Amino acid sequence: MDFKDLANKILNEGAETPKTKKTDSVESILESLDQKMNEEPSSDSSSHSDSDMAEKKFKKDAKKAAAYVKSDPNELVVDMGKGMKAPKNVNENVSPKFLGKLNYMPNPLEHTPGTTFKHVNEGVVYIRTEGENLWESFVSDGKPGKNAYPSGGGGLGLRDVNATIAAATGGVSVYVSGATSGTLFTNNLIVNNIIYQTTITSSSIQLDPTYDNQVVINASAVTIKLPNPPITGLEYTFFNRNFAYTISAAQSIYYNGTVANTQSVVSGTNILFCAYDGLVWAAK
Amino acid sequence: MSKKIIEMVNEGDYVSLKPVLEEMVAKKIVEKIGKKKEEFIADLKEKRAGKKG
Repeated sequence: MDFKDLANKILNEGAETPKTKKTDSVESILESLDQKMNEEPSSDSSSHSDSDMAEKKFKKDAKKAAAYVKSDPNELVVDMGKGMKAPKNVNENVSPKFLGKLNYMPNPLEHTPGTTFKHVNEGVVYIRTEGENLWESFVSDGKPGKNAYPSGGGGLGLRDVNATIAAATGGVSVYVSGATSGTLFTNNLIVNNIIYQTTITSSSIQLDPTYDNQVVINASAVTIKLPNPPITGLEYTFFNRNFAYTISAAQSIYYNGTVANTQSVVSGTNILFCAYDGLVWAAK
Repeated sequence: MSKKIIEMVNEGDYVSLKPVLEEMVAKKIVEKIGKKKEEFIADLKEKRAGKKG
């Protein structure tokens, strides 16, 4: 039997056998081939050198194929020699990972949501978003270079930190109106270290003599932007001039309790703000 | 804390790092607002003392 025919036959047999593993097929082919060759030695001595060369070539190609097949396709990079690389495949079951420091933007479609990488030229860590299949700036480390601010060393640049704090506190005004005793409030609502913007259009502000550090705002309109989607478990404290009360059962905001559900905007009049330990609490 | 942050950066665990940084920034913001409050109270006390005097 001709060597090529024999090889083809064995290959076909291997393909037809469902139990044969892909990774083992080449090795089993080589083993079977050796066995067959031993069982059926070629009687034609003139073709011996040709069949040796063919066998060597076949084994060499088979080894290359085995190296490719054995490699996990999700490992993505398989060196095929001379700069050739196997195509990248995405397995959605693979957990998101850090790709490392790169100087280019990789194709987001090739990576699972939550995958991160650091762009070394921009000093920004990007994360693969779930919905839009795009890279989104996640953490900024500050740009490198002579004009860059020194990094804080923790992955967030000093400039970015200062800008964030300045933006959050820049609009904060601490004041009283018509005061005879000290009280103050800011125009931001801070709950559990999270700042929510409030807009107050007040017609008058009064101090409540019953309690310290309390201001009654007879506001024509007050808007408090609460988190949307709602964050459960945050503790809010609400006051009225004389008693604390639930804003609305429908909104599920309770006095001195936890927020089970909130709506994105709460608006109303006669809001009382209480400044306490640097935190500003709001009540409707 | 700094050691923990550096470890997270070295490991490339930016997903865990972000809330830690945000918490630090939030604390700084609260501190800054608290400072404004203290300054305001001190200013108010000065004015009252001036009026009484």
